[in-house]
Amino acid sequence: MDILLCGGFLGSGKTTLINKLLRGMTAQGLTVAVVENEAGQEGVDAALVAAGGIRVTPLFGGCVCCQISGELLSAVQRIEEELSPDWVVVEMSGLALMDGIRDTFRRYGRPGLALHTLSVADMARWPKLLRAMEPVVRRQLAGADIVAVNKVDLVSADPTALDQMAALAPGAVLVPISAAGAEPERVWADLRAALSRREGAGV
Amino acid sequence: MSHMHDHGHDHAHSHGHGPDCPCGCHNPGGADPARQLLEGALVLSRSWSRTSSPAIPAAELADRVAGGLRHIAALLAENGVVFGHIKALLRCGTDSVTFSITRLDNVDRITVGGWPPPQPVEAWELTVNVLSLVDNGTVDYALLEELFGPR
Repeated sequence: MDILLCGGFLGSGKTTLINKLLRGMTAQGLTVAVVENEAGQEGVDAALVAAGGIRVTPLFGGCVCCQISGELLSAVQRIEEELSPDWVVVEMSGLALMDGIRDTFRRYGRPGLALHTLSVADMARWPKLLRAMEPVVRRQLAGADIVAVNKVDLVSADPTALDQMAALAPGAVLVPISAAGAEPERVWADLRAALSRREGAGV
Repeated sequence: MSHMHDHGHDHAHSHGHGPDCPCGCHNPGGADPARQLLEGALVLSRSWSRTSSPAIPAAELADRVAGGLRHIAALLAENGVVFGHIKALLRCGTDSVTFSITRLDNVDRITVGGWPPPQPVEAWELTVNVLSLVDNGTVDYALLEELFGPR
């Protein structure tokens, strides 16, 4: 069972990307379970994902990187025991910090867990987000194996922005994408290729 | 060793500020700037089960919701950008539509099921989540009630 932690700033397109990814993965015959962490008490993202026929374990009312990290670990363990899917996709809240959750899994998760981290960057708001929210953006990209440079249908991924993202996520594979417009099979193929490149780099 | 820190205080001392300065701008303990931003976040989450007599066309209802969300976004945005995410889920039976705003120039809608329902709706459920790292005091639960609650 592989785990994909999917993080990124509020509104960066995580849910849209995950929905496409899930459809692409299941079209290839893979079994997938999803853990949805939303900061609010009421779920919007979980409903969107569940509408696609995917089993969703919701974690509301707190952020998995600090407030409810124990619940996240328990949820993943339960999923592994009960379902043993090929993949567990964890959509982190837009307030979560990637490095914190990754470290939690490494410290308290089952030894040998195959953990992958994907951070979604919002190209449409990138310069303003980086200027105003740099400390958060930095921590949300740090430790990412893959950075999905999203919304390139709205704003092209320019070299300056890509250099900035690469500097914040050293060693990450950057994948320009339009989650809203991409075909599900393409999203999964791009992610799979990016994971292979990461593994090939020996990271 | 003291160091100079220019932020417009009137201080009687001439040697500048140091770690014991009460101005509050120093972080001798190394406070995490990311966590400081996150701890000041505005997180509002509310659901309503509403009814209407007479029934309302679903498209009109959706437009009302979108208008309310745009109003919230306008209060929170800086330079046209919401430093957060304003989203909503409107459910009428098995049909639903989600709304998403991160910039003032666009409200994204994603429909599920047979949205819009063919007949005017008499009952619906609405969930609104407002998440923003900018909290300027203009958006609160009272405003959400005013925009989306029963009248």
